Amino acid sequence: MTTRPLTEFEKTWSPGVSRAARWFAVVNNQPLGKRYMLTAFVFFTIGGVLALLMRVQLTVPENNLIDPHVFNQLFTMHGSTMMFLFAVPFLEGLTLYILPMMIGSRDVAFPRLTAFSYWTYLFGGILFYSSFLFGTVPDAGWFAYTPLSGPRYSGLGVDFWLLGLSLVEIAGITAGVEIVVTILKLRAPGMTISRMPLFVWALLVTGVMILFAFTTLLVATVLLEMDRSIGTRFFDSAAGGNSLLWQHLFWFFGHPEVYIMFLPATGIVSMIVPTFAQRPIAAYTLVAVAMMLIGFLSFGLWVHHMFTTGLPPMAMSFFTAASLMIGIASGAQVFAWIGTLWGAKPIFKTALLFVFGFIFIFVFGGITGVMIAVVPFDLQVHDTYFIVAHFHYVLIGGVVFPVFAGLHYWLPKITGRMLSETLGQWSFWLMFIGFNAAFFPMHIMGFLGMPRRVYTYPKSLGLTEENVIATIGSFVLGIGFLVFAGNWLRSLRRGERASENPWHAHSLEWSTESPPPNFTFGTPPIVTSREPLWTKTEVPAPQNENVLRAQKALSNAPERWRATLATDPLKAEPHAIQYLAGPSYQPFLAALGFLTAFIGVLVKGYLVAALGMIFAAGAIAVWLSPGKRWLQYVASSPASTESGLPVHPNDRRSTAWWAMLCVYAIGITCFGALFFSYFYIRLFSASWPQNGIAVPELQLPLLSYGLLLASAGTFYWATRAFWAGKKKRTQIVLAGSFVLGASFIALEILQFSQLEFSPRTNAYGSLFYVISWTLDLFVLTGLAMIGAMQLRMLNFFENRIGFTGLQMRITAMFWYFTVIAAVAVFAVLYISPRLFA
Amino acid sequence: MKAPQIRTAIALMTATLLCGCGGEHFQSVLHPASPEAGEISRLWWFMLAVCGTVFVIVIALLIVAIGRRGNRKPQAPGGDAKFVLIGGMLIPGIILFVLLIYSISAKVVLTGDERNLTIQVIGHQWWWEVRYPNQDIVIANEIYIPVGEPVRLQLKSADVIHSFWVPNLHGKMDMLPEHINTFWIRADKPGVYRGQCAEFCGAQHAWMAFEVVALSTNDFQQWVSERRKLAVEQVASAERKFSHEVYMRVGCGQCHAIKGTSAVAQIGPDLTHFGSRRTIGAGLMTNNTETLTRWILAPQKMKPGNLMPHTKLTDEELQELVAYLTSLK
Amino acid sequence: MENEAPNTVVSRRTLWFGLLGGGSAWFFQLLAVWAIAEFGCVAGLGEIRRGGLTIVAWMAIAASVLFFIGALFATFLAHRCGRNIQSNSRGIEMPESELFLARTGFITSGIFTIIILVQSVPIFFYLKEC
Repeated sequence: MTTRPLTEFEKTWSPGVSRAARWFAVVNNQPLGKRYMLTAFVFFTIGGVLALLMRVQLTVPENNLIDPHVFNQLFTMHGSTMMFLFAVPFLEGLTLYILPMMIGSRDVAFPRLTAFSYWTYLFGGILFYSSFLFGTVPDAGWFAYTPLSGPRYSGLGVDFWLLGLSLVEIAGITAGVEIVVTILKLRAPGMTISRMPLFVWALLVTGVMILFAFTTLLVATVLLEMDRSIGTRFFDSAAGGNSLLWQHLFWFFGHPEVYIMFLPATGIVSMIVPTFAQRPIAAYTLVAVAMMLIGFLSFGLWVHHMFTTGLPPMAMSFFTAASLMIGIASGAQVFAWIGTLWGAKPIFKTALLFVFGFIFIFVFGGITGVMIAVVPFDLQVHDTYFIVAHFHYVLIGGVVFPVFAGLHYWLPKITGRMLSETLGQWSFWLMFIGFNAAFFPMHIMGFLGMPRRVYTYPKSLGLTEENVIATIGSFVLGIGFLVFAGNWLRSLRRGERASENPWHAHSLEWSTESPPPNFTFGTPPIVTSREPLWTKTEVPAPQNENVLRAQKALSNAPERWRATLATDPLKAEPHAIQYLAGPSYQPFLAALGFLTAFIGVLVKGYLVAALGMIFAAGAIAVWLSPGKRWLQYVASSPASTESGLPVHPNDRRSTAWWAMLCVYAIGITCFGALFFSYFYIRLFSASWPQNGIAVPELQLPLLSYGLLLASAGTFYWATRAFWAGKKKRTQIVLAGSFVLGASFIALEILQFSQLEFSPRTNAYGSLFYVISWTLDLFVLTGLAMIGAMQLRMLNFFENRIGFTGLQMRITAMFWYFTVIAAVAVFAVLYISPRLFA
Repeated sequence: MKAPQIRTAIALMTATLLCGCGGEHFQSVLHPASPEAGEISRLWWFMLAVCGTVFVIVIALLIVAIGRRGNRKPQAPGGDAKFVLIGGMLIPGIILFVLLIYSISAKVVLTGDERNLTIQVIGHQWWWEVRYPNQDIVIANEIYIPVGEPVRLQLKSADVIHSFWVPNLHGKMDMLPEHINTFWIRADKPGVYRGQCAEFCGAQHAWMAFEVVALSTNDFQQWVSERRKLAVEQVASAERKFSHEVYMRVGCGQCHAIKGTSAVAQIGPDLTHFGSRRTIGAGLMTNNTETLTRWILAPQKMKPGNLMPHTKLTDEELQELVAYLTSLK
Repeated sequence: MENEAPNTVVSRRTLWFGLLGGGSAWFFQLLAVWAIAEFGCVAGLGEIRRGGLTIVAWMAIAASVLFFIGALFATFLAHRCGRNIQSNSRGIEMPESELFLARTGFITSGIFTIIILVQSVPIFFYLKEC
């Protein structure tokens, strides 16, 4: 290592100046990605130990080693940990680290959001596990079916589960936004949509799925937590609620969740196979199509987790059809990998071995998956060890094996050291054999009558041999993991240094040093083919000049602020220079605020909760208002003039514009899930509103919602004045919108005070209030944004083509969405009960 | 023992033997004892054959792909796109379509009519309440049914979600707190079939089992009339008065009902016919004086977390109680 | 929106519709037939027959036909986009990404059109009862 002084450019990109800053203010994707992965691995180890404890208990029948309460806690924590704290976060961490490098960007689109995502994830996980300290460990299963998870049948443990999980969900949703926008906007010039590496395709589909699926889960967990804390009645059948509503919401998340883990895993495989076959992937287009098919189909399978709940057979058969169709998408991918390997004489490295292991196990698990989509068969094996076997084949085979393949593949890039091949092969064979020994016998156990989630089983079932084998297998599997961990630790000290591209791979991440510098690429790369490192051709003529100009302007520049190139989502032509934020404590503080608020809810200290939320809102406000210093750096930098590209465009060239589309997706899902709950409960109710409550009067809501609708008009007027450059008029008319919105809130409060029912009365009351509150929350957020816009205009009105204009655009997008949502809410709450009464 | 009781006992023993599985596989998907379970089991073997072939072919292709000598420009047989389109999408598509048709047309939904027997089964944490509304019989953790005819089960839960599952007879049906799920089962051979709760329902989900006892039509009629007669006789008998006082005094009556007596609480299982019950603790152990004694003394030790509290008893009270309960046939 | 890059011969909106239209049509068909079957059967519509078929079956068929046409339309649009791009880009370099999007759209929406058909098959097993 040479000790030359850092250049200004390098200093700008350094993770933090002080030790504290490096810990808590870091926003760079590389350290945060590593932290994400490391944290996920710690949880993975804990989850694995929990699993081994369960196996010990189940080795022999009628064992009394672990008592039933503890056993229920073990499998609840094991499942929740593996799903929520390991698989998804690990893949998010890997994505945060690898994705920018793979698409030729210097960082992800919203660096501070990365930090926020990591901190909420970490805090969520800690909150979750702190239940051990208080002896109230969650014990209602990772699926937490109501009413078992409701206030009557479970203790504080479920609150730990719900609140810890909500934080992790927030982390997941923010990571989803991050992934989608980064892929769409920050790809290297020339990396058109048809040249994206398949891992990036997989992540794009996954990112969109996260937005819909995790939001649904967030809504579901919030509803259940409200049932438990403030006494709403969503899932309480004694007061008009419905326990199956939870299952619908949970599985509408839960099934896509499986593919949210599985798709990135197949993406990893689609990167590794071509590398070791030294040829491009077979049928690239069909693999991309298959990923899109899975993205869609995964949202149409949720009912196949509910085949035994007594649904009409006709309704179930549609979901059998949909579930079977997944087989086509998976089949296409498997055949693409086989086709790629066909006659290619692949190089047998550990990473590829794990891929073979993956294909073997995953095809097996996929086939049992086809079987359980068949209703009559599922009626028998549902909730038995057959299912346990099936989903471990799919999740360990389909996710963990590719993850280990990916680790053996990418760790040299991340740590700069090669792993030992010998140890790698050992860990593979131990894991592969151990896995099959542990989980294959479980198919038989299911057939011979062993249900899931039992802490023991009678000797007379005759399942002792199978269980002994399974336990031995699980320990062999565990040793395999340990060998890998040892291999990794060994490599950190004694591993051979990795070159830039040790595998002679094809994608961009292998064109930078191992480990990469903080800024990833000093000079932004330009891409001209699907395998940029294998086929280098000249940049085509027409774009040549623009692209090269942009590349030159950003080469080890700008010096005093972080930037990367933003490109068109389709053609990847340079669009703008993307300003990226530097180190900041605000994400950490905002996450801390959320944690405080959630702890407040947990201990039913609602004052603490409110203070936490206010603190978080304050941190976010500081976060979102750009410092004067940075705006000056941007203004004084030559990057924009040299490249001919804007820095803060206010249209779809901006990352913020695309992030707003993600917010739309989140908002639509949020209201969609609530409206679904409303009509689901209505259809199973004898009368509506329930218990003879009168339909709410129309006069007051007509006025309040009318005012809100009018505010959209005034807002439009204000934007016209804004773009025309009329400062005074903009300020006055925008103030008008603010007053209209605020009076909506005031009238809502007045109306709530006049209603004869409360959220606790029955499920109808709960739905009415919670849907209204959700809308109010959107309106209040919009009002805050309008307020911030007014403040911004006081001093920076002239920056209309810069940041101020962008802020105006974003505020408008949010406000219009809120007003449209309000119209929908009005239709559902006030009009629909009057129709088909 | 009176003659009818002996008859039932003999019937039960033959039933157990006729099961043909010598104690094992009385809770097995692969040993069907009804047309519906048989159909599902055939469906499984069919799927195993088809899907197993697919699995072997895919893995064989993978091995061939790896093992082939390298060409100058490697390509999948028939071209990459065609290989994936036909092998990965078209052929699986056809197989899956066949499976879909088989799945929908499999005859697994059983129904009967008004003349058939109706039984209400109510899931509790962690036991099964079994009611014969038309016969006025209430038992627990065992279901007696006549062989060879459909039986209507009205499934419901008193607390959290449970799931009714007797694999030798049929698939599962959930028991929900909201509404009754109607489910029809039938057994073609006399025998004892074990069932178990299949939806996680709390601490003692593992020991929430029951048995379905399938009797020939005559034996079943016999069983019904015995229960009805015995219930009346038991109340009339004067010698039981003292025993019953003990029962009420030590607190059993606060949760468990005995028909025709002052014990009417409905919290725990109805004990009217306890003496003829096959198991204690919902399938935990066979019912005899020894196990019953242990159970009464330390229910929390036998089945941790269940809702029956420890009871403080003198030895005389215990003996009296055990004798009383075992006499309730 | 200002600064929209001047496109070749097809609008981006059409391209995106071609890509996502089939999948969306499939999703809403599934939601529709599920809601019809679940709530129709619970509400007793499975007992009322018109022309030999239950109301539930009629409604499910109508919904399937509607969304089938939607998916077919998306497939057709994607196909037309692809053709237009190819026929209009002689001489100058091919707008590769648009063509790719049109092709993937054609395949994806096409497959979803078939899936809607397959998913409608169960209706014909439940024409007379739920």
